[in-house]
Parts: sequence; C-alpha cells; structure tokens
Amino acid sequence: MRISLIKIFWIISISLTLLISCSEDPSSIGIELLPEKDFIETLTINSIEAAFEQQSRSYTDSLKLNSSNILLFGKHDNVQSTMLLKFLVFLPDSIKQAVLDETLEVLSSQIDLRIVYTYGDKNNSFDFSVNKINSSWNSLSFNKDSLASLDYENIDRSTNKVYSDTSITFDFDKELVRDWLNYSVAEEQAENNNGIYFNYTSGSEKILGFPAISYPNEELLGKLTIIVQVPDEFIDTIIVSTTSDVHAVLGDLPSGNPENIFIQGGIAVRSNILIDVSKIPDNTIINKATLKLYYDESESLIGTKISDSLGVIGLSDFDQNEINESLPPTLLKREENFYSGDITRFVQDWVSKQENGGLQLFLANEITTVNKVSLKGSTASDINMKPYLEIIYTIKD
Amino acid sequence: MLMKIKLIQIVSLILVISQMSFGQGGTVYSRYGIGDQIHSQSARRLGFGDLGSAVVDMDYIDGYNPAAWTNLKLTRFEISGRFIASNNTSQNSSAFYNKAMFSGLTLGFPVERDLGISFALGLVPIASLEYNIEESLEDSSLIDPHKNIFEGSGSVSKIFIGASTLLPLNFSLGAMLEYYTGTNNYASKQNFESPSTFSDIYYETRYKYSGMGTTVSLITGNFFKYFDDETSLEFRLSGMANFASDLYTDTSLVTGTSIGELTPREGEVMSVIPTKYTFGAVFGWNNDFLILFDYVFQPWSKYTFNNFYEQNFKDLTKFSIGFQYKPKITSMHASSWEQMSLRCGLSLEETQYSFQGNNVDQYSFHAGATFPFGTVNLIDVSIAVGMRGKNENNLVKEEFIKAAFSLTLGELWFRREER
Repeated sequence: MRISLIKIFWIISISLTLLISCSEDPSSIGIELLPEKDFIETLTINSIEAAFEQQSRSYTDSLKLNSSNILLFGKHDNVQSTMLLKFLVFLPDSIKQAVLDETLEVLSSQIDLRIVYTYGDKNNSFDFSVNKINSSWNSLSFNKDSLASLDYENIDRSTNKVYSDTSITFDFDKELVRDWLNYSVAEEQAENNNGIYFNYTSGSEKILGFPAISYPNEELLGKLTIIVQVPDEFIDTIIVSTTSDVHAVLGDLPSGNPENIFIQGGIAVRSNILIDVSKIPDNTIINKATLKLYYDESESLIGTKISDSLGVIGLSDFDQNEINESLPPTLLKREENFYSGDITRFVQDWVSKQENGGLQLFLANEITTVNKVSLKGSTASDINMKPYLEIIYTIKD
Repeated sequence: MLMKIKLIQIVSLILVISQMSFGQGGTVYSRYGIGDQIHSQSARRLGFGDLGSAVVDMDYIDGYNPAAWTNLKLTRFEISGRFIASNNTSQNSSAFYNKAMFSGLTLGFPVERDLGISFALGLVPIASLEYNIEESLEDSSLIDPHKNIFEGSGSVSKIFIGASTLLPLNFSLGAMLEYYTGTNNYASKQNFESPSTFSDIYYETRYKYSGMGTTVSLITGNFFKYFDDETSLEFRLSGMANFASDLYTDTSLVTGTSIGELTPREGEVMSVIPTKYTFGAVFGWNNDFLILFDYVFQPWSKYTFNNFYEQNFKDLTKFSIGFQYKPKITSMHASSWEQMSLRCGLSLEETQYSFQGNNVDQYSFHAGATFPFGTVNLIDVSIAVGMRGKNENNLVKEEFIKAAFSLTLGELWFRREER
C-alpha cells in the first residue's frame, strides 16, 4: 500500500476544512455553568448623582499664530491685534530695465484687503495706520513678544481708505513702492523690503480678519496694485499678492461672572477642568464618557466665523497646564445651549492610571478667530449648570 | 537520508496542521481547572478506549507510558492529530461545534534492545480549553444592542524526555521527566452591533503555566511465560503514576479599552495538579488478540489554584476496556488488508466536573484500525462516539465524535557495525 504523505495531508486537510465549516455560531448553551467572576456588568454614574468633586479655571496661554490662514487686525473688548505684510515684487524684464534706467514712473499704488471675518459689530468704528517696517522679521518666528523690538516708522503710508463690509482699499505711498521696485532689481537688496506694519487707531472697536498666505482661496489674498509708466512708451499694471504675513494678538483674560470660565481665540484664553472620577472602581472599562458644558451666551462674543467646537486635550498637571501627550485631542460640539462630546479615552486613562490631571479646553478655531466662549464653571451655584460628566462603564470581578 | 526527508515533510505537516488547530465553540466544562483532560494522544490508544497502559508494543512510540518502550526495535517518529465534533444540548437549545487539534509529536529510539533501554522525547497536550458562549442583549437601557461573549481557549502541554529499561522477570520500567507549559485565556467580551457609537471591549484573564513533573510506570512481564516459555497467552499488569509538580502560573488581567489593551493586574500563583494514577491489565492469546482493561484515578478534589480549591471539582475515575486484533504476519507478501490491525473499546469516565452535586459523566465507544505502509510505517485512525453530561440541572449534554489520526514512521538508527 503506497500512500504518499502529500495525499494523506490533502485528504486530512479537505476533510477537516469541510467538517470545521459545519460549526454553528456560538450560542448561550452552558452560560449557567460559567463562574460568576466571568460575567460583566454595565453601569452608569454621573457627576451630579455621585457628587464628583470638580474644579475649573481660566488662563491665558501661549499660542503660535504663524500658521493661521486668517490675519486678525483691530481692537475690540479685551483683544487687540496688529499685522505685518510684505509684498515682494517680481518684475518682467521690460519693466526691470525701465527701473534700472530710472525711466519708470509709479502712477498709483493701491492695497486691497478682503474681509473674511469680523469680530464685534460691523458698524463699529475702525481705522488704522500703515507704517514702513525698518527691521527684518520672519513670519514663521514672529509672535506677540516680537512686537516690542519691531522697528517701524511712525508715518502713515496709507490714504483714501475705503471701507465696505467685504473689503478695505486704500492708496499706498508711491515712494515706498518705488523703493520696493528698486530693491527688486538690485542684486541682494530684496531683503531691504521689510514690508509694512498695520496698526489700529485708538478709536477702533472691531477686529477684522483677512486671508493669509495659507488661505485656501488665493484670489482673496491681499493685493498691491501698482500702475507704472515709461513716458512715451507704455503704461502697465503690476499686481503683487502678499508674500509674507503674520499677526500678533494681545489681550487680557476676560472678566465677567466669577462662576464662568472663558475660552477665547487669538490671545489665547483656555480653561482647565478637573473632575474627580476616583469613585469608579479599579479595572473598570469605560464604555462611554460624555462631558457637557453649559454655554453662557450673555458673556460670549462670537464673530462672523462661528465656534461650534471646543478642543479638548488631556493634562498631566492641572495647575501647571502640562499636556498629557499620550492621548489625542477630541472635540466638544455645540448643541443648543451646551457643548458636549465623548471623552471616553480620557476617563479611561484616569481610571486605569489612577492619575487625573484634568482637561484643557480650547477654541477649535483659536488661531483664526478671537471668538470668546463663556461656559459655566465648577463653582456654578446651580449644580445642574456645572460641568456634567456621565459615564457608562463595565466591571468584572 | 530518507528519514530526514520524511522529517521535513512531517514538520511541514505539523506547521500546516497547527494552523488548523483552532476550533469553533466547545464545551463550558473546560472553563474549570486547566481544561478538559487528554488522557492519551495517539489514534491507536483512542481506538481501544483511550488508555491501554499495560500494552508493550514494538511499533509505537507515544508519550503515554514510558514502560511500554522496552520492546522498541526501530527509531520511531509519531505525530497525531484529532478532530472533535460535538452536538451540545441544554434544556432549551442545541448547537453543533467542532474543532481540530494537534495532539502529539514523539521521537523514540532503542539504545540497547536486549536490555529494553530506549529513549524518547516529545511534545504532547495534556489539557485543552475551548468554549464560546454568547448572549444577545437587545434591550439594554444604557448601551446599544450588543452581545456578551465568553470565550476560553488554550491548552497545557508537556515536553518530555524519558527512558525505559527491562528489569528482572521481564518487568518493564519507564520514567519521564516532564516540563509543563501552556496558556489558557478566558475572555469576557462586549461586542456591539454595527452601527453603534460604542466600541467593543473585553476583559481577558490569562494564565501561563510552567512547571516540572514526572511519570513513573511499571509493566510486569508476561505471567504465562513464567510457567511456559512457549505459550501464546499473555497477561500483564501495569501501574503508572504521573506526578505533576506545582505549576507556576503567571496570571494577568488584560482589558481591551478605548485607549488600547491594558494590563491592570499581574501576578504569580501556584496551580497544584493532583497526581494521576493508572492501573491496567492486558490479556492476549494466540499472539493475535488482546483484551485490555484500565483504571484511572486522579483526585481533582485536591486541585488548587492560588491555594483555593475548585468547588466544582471531584475526583476523576475512568474505566476502559478494549480489544485488539493484530495479526501476526508470517508471510513476506501479506497484503495490506492482511496486515491491518483492528481494535475497539468502551470507556466510562466520571469526570472531575460536578456542579451542585450533579456529576458530569462520560460514556464512549471506540474503534480504530492500523494501516501499515512501506515496511515499517503505520497510519492509525480511530473514532470514539460518546456522550458527556446531561441536559438537566443546567448541565450541558455533549454527544460527540472524536476522530484521531496518527502517523508512525520507523527507521533503523544506531546500527552496530560488525567487525
């Protein structure tokens, strides 16, 4: 009897495969015989009924605005913002030669800025000056602390400002434009163009937002329109888009109802919340944890870009605002008069590690707006208005 | 060289079979202790009632009884696999499950045939855990519809090295040094039906066993031969004790959570496996026929885990009676059918399981055959049909079919050169 191993193997494999595939889905047969310790139980607990200890506080934090796709400019309430723009000019050869020959005349120059965000009433007053910057700056590193060392002329280079709801247009100093044209054709002098500094005037009472370089629609970028001529030869129009920009926001912590906590973009105001969940048993698995924060509309101020989301990130130290980077941020979404969201991962982390540094709340669009959101904090006199945490969890012996 | 090629093929076969060594479902009884006991691993032993401790046979090598190796004539390699299908019924429902599993790998060789000295080593499973229970919860007020799933999986095996020798009066003595290893996992899961805003979670308790043990066995000589050297009758007795030392058990509780798998609890405890005693007898005649009887006793009531007794355990006893027809081959040209061995058996086992006084007993009928191939190689197949438990008092009745397959290869090693 000659039976090869291969044949035996295939006979066994096919037979077993056929037989194994006959199995039925698992059933509840035998469940009564399982030991009690194998069973799991799902329960719920919430911060009101279980009287979770909690605390909250607001503070101003550092925020890098360099990647913002909106430039904020103006002053309103507790916030002030200024901005820096640079228009580097690149000329066609025909005009280049005219600049070198000093035959080119600048007939006019105009800057057009499109408004994509307004914080404060649109009808509020708004005015500004445009100053030549003498010192160099880098849009990637410039921040509010750099403002003190910024060297700029105290001469307003703008005239004939025209304001509308969607744009600001003004005539720009032709002499300065002429300098920029000269820098553009001279070797290694382009860096002498340090751009212009936009500073609001004291009477301004709103903050406007203009598209920055990273704005998705390039058509809306700030534009410098220069009309030039070489007498008896040609008249031409040069349009230059913003080539470098940055804004710097200054401000104070909002004041208001001491029961409230604040979250604001730009400056940036953030709030920490710590809810003690130590009443949850060890080795618990959190099925779902939902945080609900009540919105106080009377102390909130939202611009033309709404802030319907709050970012939430874990903290390893509530008082020192140290971020717990082991967990990804999540969002709380605005629903009627509250923000709520799933913070299951954070609560699981607190329960599992028995360390709870709390949560940091920030405006999801904090680098593109200065919207101010006011929420009821942990000291709210009405217990039902305090930050509310509902947890569904599963335990096993 | 031929043996090497065969070994390569066998190893390939093992790898493939090991990939198939997972089942679907199983019985909840294995939830307790270290799992269901596997008394023997080869298809041959399953064929005559799962035991056969008093049989001395030159054609097989398995990890069951080291005293049985004294008659080994060739180097033997044996590999086995099992398939188990079971129809489980409770008072309200029934379900069909099956699984396939690798059940042993042994290599043995004679060193001094005249003195019955042989060595063997191998890997064989001694306990198996497999169950899968689900309950659907559609109307929970807290969470979305989901299933609670209770799963157990794993096995405990022993790696052994052993030797046998003949004693005066033709007694056979054998001993094995064993290293026990294995992992059993017990999971309680909550799986949500899609779509759901809830994520699946689980608790899993993992026990990782390790420890040493020994098996000592003795088979008497043929009592009839003490009186008549030419007799064709055979009668032997055997005794075997399997001393499993306390097994170190690394325990861990693992949770599957929204932030990944966590291990909130770890530790080491001892599992004390009670000694297993086996006594057997074999009666043969005409050099063709054997009747076997075996009795196993293992006091599982003394099993402890972390110094706690298992409340649902009692002492295990097993009786089996078997019959084997193995024709004595006198012709060089015997056909395969003429060389085929046949066997059958009956087995009664009072298992170690007892729930609130309701014992779980097992009855089974066994049959098997050996197909020789080549000159010295064997394929064994066997089948056992039986039932365990009953479908009352919350117990589960299992009506099962076990099928086993063993491949035994032989080759002459260590041949002494004539000078």
